[in-house]
Amino acid sequence: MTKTRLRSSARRKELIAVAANLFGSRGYYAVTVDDIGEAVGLTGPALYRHFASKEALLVAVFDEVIGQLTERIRALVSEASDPAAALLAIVRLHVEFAIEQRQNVAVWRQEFQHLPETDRWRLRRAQRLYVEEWVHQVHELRPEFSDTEVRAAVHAAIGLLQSPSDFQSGLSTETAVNLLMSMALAALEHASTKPIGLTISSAS
Amino acid sequence: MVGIEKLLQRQLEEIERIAREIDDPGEALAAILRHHLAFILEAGDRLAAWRQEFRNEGAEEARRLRRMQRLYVEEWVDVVLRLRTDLSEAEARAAVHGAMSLLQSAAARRSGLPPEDLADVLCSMAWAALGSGFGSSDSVLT
Repeated sequence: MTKTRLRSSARRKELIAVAANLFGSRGYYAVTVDDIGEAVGLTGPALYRHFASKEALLVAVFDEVIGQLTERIRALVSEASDPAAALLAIVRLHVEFAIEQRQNVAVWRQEFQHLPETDRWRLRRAQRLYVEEWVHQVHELRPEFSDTEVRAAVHAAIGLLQSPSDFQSGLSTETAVNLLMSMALAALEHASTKPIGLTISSAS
Repeated sequence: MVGIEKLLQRQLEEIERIAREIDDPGEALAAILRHHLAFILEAGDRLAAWRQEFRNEGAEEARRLRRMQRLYVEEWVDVVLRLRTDLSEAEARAAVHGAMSLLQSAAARRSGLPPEDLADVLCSMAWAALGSGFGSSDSVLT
């Protein structure tokens, strides 16, 4: 790799980090390409040499975020002593991510379907690989469940943890993390294929 | 527009009826969960379109819809607070939104499970999520 390419790739990384930050704090729609350029000392045209559009930057941010999440979940899983410890670490990772990246999670939901098809396929695949790490741990803990049931339960738990992107509770981060973590863990632990009327009479 | 307003109105009337008719908060919560999920499964793909519509509404209509949604959530919060005396109102409200997002996953993807089976899995999860603290069972996580 030449020096110029190295510099260029460092610049790209810097731009992605800055864009993720600005999209996350101010919201994707409020941020302009010029804002991002300004934050790293680049003019609009110079920035367009790296990314053709704001959408291209958004895609790069999504790639980066899902890539980092997957790297971190794999590290957590390999460090965990057993599936329960792994799941606890995974749930914490995801809720912290979901609160910190609240805005970008909302943008993902709103913009994903409008992205170019090749980007959608690549991001879906990355997302699938991330989710499979969850599915594996939950399956270890709930072997009585079918693969399809586990996967539905995992998506439900992830939905729960991402609720801060829909609703700003005003709770402190610590309180929200603890509340959502305990909810997600209880949900995964007590997921059942029986109607809830039965669960209730046995619980009360 | 008419679509979402009618739908929200119906949901609101339903949750008010549950709150009025079912005294036991546990039973009321179970009924709310079942109704909410049935609504998501029934609305299916239209929900996403409605969410979009909601965002694009004029200020006055959006305010009216938000108000209905708020009243709906508050009925739910009220029931949760009766079950969970350990939670503050803000925590209960965040928990209700969490449960709604959990159930919402039914609309977001094709799970491959028959709707009734999916409903049981998701309702039991939402029930456990909102009830963490009451009821008990052997934990696989500790």
